[in-house]
Amino acid sequence: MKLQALRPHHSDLRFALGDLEAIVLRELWETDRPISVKDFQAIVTERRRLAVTTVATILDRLYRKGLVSRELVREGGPHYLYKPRMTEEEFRYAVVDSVMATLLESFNDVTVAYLAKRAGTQRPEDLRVLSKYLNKLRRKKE
Amino acid sequence: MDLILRYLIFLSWVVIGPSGPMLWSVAVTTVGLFGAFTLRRSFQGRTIVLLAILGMMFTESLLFVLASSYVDSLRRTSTHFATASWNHLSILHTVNVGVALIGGFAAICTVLFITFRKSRLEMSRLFPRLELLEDAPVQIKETVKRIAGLAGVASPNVCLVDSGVPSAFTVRANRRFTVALSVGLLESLDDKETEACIAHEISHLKNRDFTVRLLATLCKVALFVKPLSYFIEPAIYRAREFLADRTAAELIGGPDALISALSKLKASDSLAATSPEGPMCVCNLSGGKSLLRILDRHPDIGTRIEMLREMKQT
Repeated sequence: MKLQALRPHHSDLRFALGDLEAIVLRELWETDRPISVKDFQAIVTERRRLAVTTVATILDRLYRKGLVSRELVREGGPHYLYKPRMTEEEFRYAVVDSVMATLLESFNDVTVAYLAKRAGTQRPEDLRVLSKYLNKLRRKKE
Repeated sequence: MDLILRYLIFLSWVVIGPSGPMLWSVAVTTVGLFGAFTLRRSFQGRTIVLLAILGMMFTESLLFVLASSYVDSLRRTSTHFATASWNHLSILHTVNVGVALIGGFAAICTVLFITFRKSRLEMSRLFPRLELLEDAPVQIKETVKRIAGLAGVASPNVCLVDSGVPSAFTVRANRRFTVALSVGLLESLDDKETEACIAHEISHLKNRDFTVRLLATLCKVALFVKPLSYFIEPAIYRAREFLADRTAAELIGGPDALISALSKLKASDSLAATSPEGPMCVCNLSGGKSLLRILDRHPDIGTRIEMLREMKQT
């Protein structure tokens, strides 16, 4: 997966993707089979009017970013069948991973201190997840 | 009066370039440009006028170089020649000869490079970043052959580009013309619209746009110091694009299919990444965007649709 421009002032998927890319990828996650551009456009258009050429261009872009895979089918005129390469969970993990990896590399001490300070201040159950993980780490070391 | 004259001469230097500070060339160019844009719907006429302006600029600089060389030779042979007036001319003379030599050399190199190197390359060498699928479907090949037959040109090669972005372009590769269509184009347009796109590409071959473009580019290269040539060359490209649209509509019997294909392509036009450009590329459907419309080699798709609609009404 290649994440190019992250957008710190956008929330959710739009943090790591363009507006249209986010819409198209979300729809693709909800589709459970490899799908052609024409069929997919018919589904997407129910929620948001997008031209078939736009959908084709956006899917190509997602393909080049490594987020979807495609297969060339020759029967019935050459066309691609697209499907997502990762689930939404995996994608979210990959985004956080790429951001945190950079932060930990560039600002190691500050990042660790920040996480320790912030953990649990907003959601108490985060603290439980963290301590569980720390215990596991400690046991592994011993 | 003197001031106005000086201003006009200065203006002519800025627009036409440093060879001919002659008022007649400014006048002819102005009239020519005006003519070119009043010939609104005759794109062939517009091309001819624009090429004629380039040709005039070309002969003018040549004449100027010859004239000043002649004066130079007079000065060398005759002792009576006033040296004082030559001092003014000599700088101009040196600059002009230098510029003409550089421009001529660059133009010759361009011609040689394009005819003997670039147009003999394979598609994959010409566009190393495009993934090509050599075997286009039989149905597409037959459409190309049929339309080429209608247009009366030799049937070009067809190749499929492995890309989801809708695009089509024609290039000269391996000494043959090749029409390249992307999978994205075929999957988002229906058969009629695809046929219209193919007809547009073949119209470029029918109208000999490879030659016209080469000519325009050569003039631009040779006249590289003249700012006006940088505006005329893209104007010629745009005129050829309109002409190809019209020829295509005539080939397939009506502009409707082309209008609907272009309308679809218009939607993704602003999103599309850059598609191939350069001297080998006769056309690509959605071209690059310059900051200034007037420098763009591809007309806006909206304007092309408008032109086709007008054509339908008449």
